[in-house]
Amino acid sequence: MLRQKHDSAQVPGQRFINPDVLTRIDNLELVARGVVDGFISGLHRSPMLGMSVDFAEHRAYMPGDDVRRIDWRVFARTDRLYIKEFEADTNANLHLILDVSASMDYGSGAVSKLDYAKFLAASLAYISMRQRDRIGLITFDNDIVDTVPTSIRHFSRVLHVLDGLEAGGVSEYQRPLEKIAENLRRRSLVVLISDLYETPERLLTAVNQLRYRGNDLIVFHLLDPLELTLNLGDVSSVEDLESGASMPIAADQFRASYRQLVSTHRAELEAKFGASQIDYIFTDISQPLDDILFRYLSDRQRQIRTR
Amino acid sequence: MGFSWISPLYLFGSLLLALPVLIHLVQRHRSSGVKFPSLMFLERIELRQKQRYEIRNWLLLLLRCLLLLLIVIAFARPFLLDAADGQLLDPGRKDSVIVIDRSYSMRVADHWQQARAAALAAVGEKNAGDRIGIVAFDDQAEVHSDLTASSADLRSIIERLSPGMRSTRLRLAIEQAARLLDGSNASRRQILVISDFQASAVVAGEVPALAPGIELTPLPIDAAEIANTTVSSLSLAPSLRGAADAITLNVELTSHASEAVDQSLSLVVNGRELERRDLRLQPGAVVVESFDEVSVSGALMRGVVSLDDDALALDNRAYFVYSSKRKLPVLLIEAEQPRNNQAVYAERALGLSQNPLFAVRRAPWSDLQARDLAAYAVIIVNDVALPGGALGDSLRGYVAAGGGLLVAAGANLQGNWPSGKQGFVPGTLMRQIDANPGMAQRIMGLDDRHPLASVLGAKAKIDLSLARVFSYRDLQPADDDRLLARYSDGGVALLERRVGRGRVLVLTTTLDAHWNDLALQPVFLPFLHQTMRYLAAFTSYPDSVPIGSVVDVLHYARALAGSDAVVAAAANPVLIIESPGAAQTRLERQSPLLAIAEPGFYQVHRATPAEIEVVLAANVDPAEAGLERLDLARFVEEIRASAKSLPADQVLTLRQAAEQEQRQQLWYWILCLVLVLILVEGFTANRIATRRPPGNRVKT
Repeated sequence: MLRQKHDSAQVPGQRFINPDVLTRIDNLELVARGVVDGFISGLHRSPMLGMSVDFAEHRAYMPGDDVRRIDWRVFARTDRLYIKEFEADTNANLHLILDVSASMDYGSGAVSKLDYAKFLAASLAYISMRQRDRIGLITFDNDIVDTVPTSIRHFSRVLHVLDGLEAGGVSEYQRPLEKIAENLRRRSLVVLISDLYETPERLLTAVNQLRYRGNDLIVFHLLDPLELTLNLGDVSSVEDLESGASMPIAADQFRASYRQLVSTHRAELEAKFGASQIDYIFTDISQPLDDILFRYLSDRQRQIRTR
Repeated sequence: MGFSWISPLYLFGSLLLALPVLIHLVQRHRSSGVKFPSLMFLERIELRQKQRYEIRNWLLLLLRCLLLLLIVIAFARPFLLDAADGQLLDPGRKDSVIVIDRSYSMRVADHWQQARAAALAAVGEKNAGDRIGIVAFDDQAEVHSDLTASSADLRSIIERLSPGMRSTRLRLAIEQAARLLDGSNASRRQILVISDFQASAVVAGEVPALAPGIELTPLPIDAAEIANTTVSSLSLAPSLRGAADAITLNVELTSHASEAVDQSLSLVVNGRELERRDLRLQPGAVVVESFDEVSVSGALMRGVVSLDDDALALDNRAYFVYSSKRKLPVLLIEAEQPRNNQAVYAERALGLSQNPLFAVRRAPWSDLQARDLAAYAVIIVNDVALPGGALGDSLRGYVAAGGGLLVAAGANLQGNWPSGKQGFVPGTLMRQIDANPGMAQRIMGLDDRHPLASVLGAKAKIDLSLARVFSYRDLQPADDDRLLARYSDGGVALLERRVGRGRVLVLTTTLDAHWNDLALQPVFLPFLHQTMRYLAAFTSYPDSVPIGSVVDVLHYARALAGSDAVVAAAANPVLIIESPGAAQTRLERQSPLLAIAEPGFYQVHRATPAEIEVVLAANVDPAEAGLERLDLARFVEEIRASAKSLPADQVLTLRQAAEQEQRQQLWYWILCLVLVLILVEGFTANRIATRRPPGNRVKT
């Protein structure tokens, strides 16, 4: 509760929907709308601005309207102030790439990383749908599992596929991302959502394949709080969710080293991805989804302005 | 003061202590393992193996180990060695028990003198503080002296000992001696066995149980080889050819000599030699000799088969008696005006018995006097009312004194039914019950444990349920009555009651073919014969009894006379026993037990008149005749091997230890402590479990 109040102070109007609450909503579209509408109404501007728009209609000027949107030609002919309304159009593709390996099925709370990834992907898809972008979805573990081709009308299909996702298999990045990169024909906004259990070097090699085609790449790194802290309690051994391998541990003795390793891993990823102009967003899945989205989109808007 | 244990082997159970540690370490992997997304980082962490297997909850582990340890200790039954109890060993003293063989084989040559000399020598060699006990044995072991330091007393006892007439059992003697030494706290304890060590003295597989720390020292008699022949068995059989009162006699002769022996065999009956024959017995031979048919004269015939005397004369004679008086007197009560064949079936059935023969008398109550009843072993009342008055009282007395009464209840059994505490018949007799036409009752479920069933169950054809019963008298059993059989509709068929020393059986249907067809079935004869034997407590008269047995004289008097009642009716309650050695002893009828101690004829008289009631022939055990030596080294080795191998100076006797442990009962307090620790362990484990954070969730 304290954390939520703190975040609320930072972002007025944000509704901060707890991920645990979101799991109770079966309909992904509702989740996405609930998450996105909350902060978009607070922003007043779409984070996807910069895309092309088409004229839709005129309407009478109302005080408070942006004077830059007054159609001066109409004013010249009719001596009345009219505002030009534009219908959003798109020329952008959004590719959502989801890791569905077995490690994504982990969650110490009500939400697993895969659930969180679904909400996140659905929210991003919703935003893009509102921007009339083309939306596509690709899931992978050590190969491509599911594909929804990009289309402006594929929002529902993406949600449907997201809804039916099950985690399984061993994660690998090089091969599936290479395949995905080969199939990206237009410049796209590519969003990779994964727990990134791989060395930063190999990860960078893998994701750079997506980057080389001129795609705009955003990587969401999802981790459960226990994966950050190793607060496993009095356990004597752990079993790898993907390989099934087991090893004895002394969690108390391991904890400090483990945290250090995770922290280093994150830092390296952030540095290496940053250097390759890849947006890296670390996501603790216990954090509210809209908070993550808001922070990311704010950062992104700032970056777009500066780029 | 120190600790010792009653069952120290249980201490090996302390190895179980490794169990909680192992379980803790091994099971920790399995039970408390969790799934984790990736071991990528964990595998990079360097950690010593020791840390991975580190024990976390030391307190819990120690508590559990302590619990196990205490349970193991409690099972081992510890006790405190207390010097004040005098339980510490006396290092300078030696206690011995002289076990001396007095079986009849020790009568051979100078064996007994040698044995006595060896015993006296052992007493002479003892030091001042040493103690000696004396056990004399044959097939029994008798303590003649507890452990004592008095040499004079010991010598006196040894001088008084003499060989007996019985056979040898070494195990009993050695165990008796060991029990004497159980009470000793001397540092050295010893059993000296002085015997001729016959092979027959040890039954195969019987090894004496010797406490640890007790030495066994055999002192065998120095014996030369002796040629011995024996009458090893004797059998009598009624003659099959001639008259009923004649017998044939077979004897088995055994030679224990290493050379052929010439012998003369004779048969003497009632003091008259009937036959003598010379024969040559080959070494180790076992031969059977048959005598000519012998006519039986008198109620009791006494005989002796004998060989010429040799080195061991006792086993050269076999005594026997034969009783021709083997008829059980049975009184069959009939009605004043009997219906057709009312008594015929029972009378004829009893007439067909061989063992015993039945002497049946048929008479109505009106022909009988009160005193007449005592002459019969069994009285059968077949569908006739029971008598009242003096005769009724006499009937009750007859049963209480040991007589047998069989009552078959029919329609005519009306009026007097003396049941209850003052009466003698079982249950309450009710109305007549008739079976539905075509639905005869069957007698079912005869109690298998009852002596009556022993003969009936022997052959498949002998089955009471074959008989059809058309009518019977309803009988309600009382608490003390024993229900032996029922009808198929649940009604009582056969009910028994014990009155004093006698037995009363009630069959609730008739004993002729009036209400049933039992008398027409094959089962009728064996059923009636067995019923008579049971009611009369019949016992066959023995040809001979072995020395060492204890016999109930009245038991054989009953077999001879046919009824306890006969004996009980004697006016004088004192019996005079005349032994084979002509010694006379008096025996009360209330405790008529006679110990058979010497071979020959035991004669039992009533004090007045001096009529011989019972004669018993007593024989020595022929097994003792074999003088072959036991493999002594092997025997001693077996005993030593069976004893626990603890050093003598560390051993308390088992009895002392058990007494001390029982007095202290430390195990009880240890178990109480275990209970408390279980509570503490439960509380601690619960605290630890509740402190542990909840496990992480993995969706699978």
